[in-house]
Amino acid sequence: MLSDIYERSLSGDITKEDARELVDGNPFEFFDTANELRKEIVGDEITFVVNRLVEVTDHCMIGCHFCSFRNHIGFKLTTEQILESVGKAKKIDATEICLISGVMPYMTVDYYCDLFKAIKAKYDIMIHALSPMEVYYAANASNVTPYEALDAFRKAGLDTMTGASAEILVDSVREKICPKKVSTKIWADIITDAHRLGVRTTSSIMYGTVETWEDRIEHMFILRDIQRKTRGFTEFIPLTFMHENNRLSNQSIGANGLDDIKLHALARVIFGRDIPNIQVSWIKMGTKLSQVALCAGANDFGGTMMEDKISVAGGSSHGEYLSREDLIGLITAIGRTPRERNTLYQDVKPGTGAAGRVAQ
Amino acid sequence: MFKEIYKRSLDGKITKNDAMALLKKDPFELFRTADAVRQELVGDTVSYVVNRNMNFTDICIGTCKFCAFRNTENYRLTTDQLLAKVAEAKRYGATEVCIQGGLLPDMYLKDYVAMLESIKEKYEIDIHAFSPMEVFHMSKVSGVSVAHSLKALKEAGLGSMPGTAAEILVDDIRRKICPGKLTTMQWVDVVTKAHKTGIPTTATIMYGHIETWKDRIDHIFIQRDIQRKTHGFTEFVPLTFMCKNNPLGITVMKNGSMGASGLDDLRMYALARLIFGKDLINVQASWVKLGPKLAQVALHCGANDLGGTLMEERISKTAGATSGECMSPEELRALIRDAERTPRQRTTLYQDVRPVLKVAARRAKN
Repeated sequence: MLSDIYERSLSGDITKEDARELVDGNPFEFFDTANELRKEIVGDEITFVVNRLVEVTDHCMIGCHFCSFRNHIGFKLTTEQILESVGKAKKIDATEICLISGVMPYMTVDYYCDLFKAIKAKYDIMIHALSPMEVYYAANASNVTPYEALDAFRKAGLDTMTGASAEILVDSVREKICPKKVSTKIWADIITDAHRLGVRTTSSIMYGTVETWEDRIEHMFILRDIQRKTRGFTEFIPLTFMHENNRLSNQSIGANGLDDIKLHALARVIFGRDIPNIQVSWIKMGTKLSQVALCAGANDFGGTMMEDKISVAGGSSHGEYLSREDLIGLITAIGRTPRERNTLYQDVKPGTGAAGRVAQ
Repeated sequence: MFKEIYKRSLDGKITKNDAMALLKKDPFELFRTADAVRQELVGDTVSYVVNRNMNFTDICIGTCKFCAFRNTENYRLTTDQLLAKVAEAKRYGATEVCIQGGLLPDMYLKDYVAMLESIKEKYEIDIHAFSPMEVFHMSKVSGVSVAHSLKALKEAGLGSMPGTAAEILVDDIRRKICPGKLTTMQWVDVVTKAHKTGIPTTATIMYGHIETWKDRIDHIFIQRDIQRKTHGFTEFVPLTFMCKNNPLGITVMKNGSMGASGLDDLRMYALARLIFGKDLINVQASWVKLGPKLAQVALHCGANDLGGTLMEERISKTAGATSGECMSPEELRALIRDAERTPRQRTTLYQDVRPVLKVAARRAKN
């Protein structure tokens, strides 16, 4: 184990130079150190959430170069269809519904508010939706500030927001992979607004396209600095680039498996006690590589998902649904203790649905 | 790194107790040690073979409980169909065809021999075919000895044999997962005789179901001991159990498991590297079963070969593998380079071969 790195991670003193050296150094000592940090910070539990992803439409006016989902099928769900999906999620005692969607001009503040209200009127479930980009476009379409839009969403029933659309928070990279998305500054401002309003968010990175390790490290330090101000991030989710069927396909075959593990380990070291939860994305990495990442710094298995057309369009072949029992089996297989959580990492008693919220 | 283990691995002195003890230690130290032994024995090149996999029939009188392939379509390729596939493989630049089938009740040694001869007559290609179980089966139904069959197969053009049907070489386990298959002793006998006949084979293990780590280690030591006598194994290929669509998978899943964990897959590669040491220097990561990313990680935990292009692969796919059936030579090379290693195209017997690449092929046409 790298004792010096271990100590400084816990005291919040890791530098960008440290991070760079870890990436270039012996991977095994690095993974061991990240694993020891995970033990110290969150113990031996591996958490997971019983959730359902609902993809609302693949119509989108943004057109990011890494996207394989846009217009892939050409579908748009009605409110009734969305409610039906939420109903199915409730049947497996899901505690979270995660709405993901393309961005269209008709998606105003009212559009989202109506959708959230319709879900909340019928179901007791946490709504995890939107990202800074959707907030930005909705606010523009409705002539309000992002802060005002967020306040309206919160009142309409939005519980937590996703930290998606972060991709790589380095503008020169964003120019190359998602030129029409919000800039790094706007992304950070809207996330900070959400946290100030009490809407907690996840944080993420989409890596493995054209960026360098320096870019990835820069990105993680931006997130760490936001977290030190707001304490609003619930978790960090590395999202490895799925390289099929998109405009970046000929530029990258994605991160190699060892770099996937390194990214998780590095996140654990950089975030230290600031962001204690590091999630694996099993749909993108597969369950086996996810198990390895969980032994190299990560501590959360993510969700049951139930659907993920976005990853499938990008070439993922790992399925879209793991049951509660599947997840528990995968966790115990690496000698760790499973714990079902809700979106805010509160305990959920198995089979009691949104019990965590009641206790809140 | 475990320095003592590193040294003992290179001296061929790893014991079963060492192996069991390593499983209780920090996995990353284990991986690092295996990676260092790999580096010392075979350097930084990662080899692959351009081959075509084909299963001439899925009809099988076997009763293996882990099989999801048997009798799913009930097909049986004609000689012409088989030759057409070999022709495709040749056009693709393959140096090897890998041929295995279900166990047909009415297929005799002469039919296997005829199959080999019909290919050899038309094509210059390495034939890697017939598992120890198939050789055992053909000898039995034909009323001849295993040694007789092996000699006839070699004369007909058999270059090498897959060391499959090994599963777990512990009879207690075999009785539960493949009661109709040859016993451990019979497997050892067929493989040893093949080596003595001048037919090299691979060595495999199919793990991640009901066996223990002790069973896996016993298995690897059996193969190491064979290798010390014959030197006939070309490589060791760990095959992680795929749990979909087969009765054994149902048993495994009922116990809350979905097969070996990713960490245990890596442990298997690392342990194999350490136990085999200089005796068997090639350890293959199967991208079909592991997926390309975990296979890349395995290359840093002891493995040094990425297997073949395959072109078609039905057996893992029916059991739930989702990583595809074909990897082009270009894709394999990119995966290897991406893992910061140097690609090397090899033959079945690990000899050098000039890489077959699309670019090169195009240049040649011009």
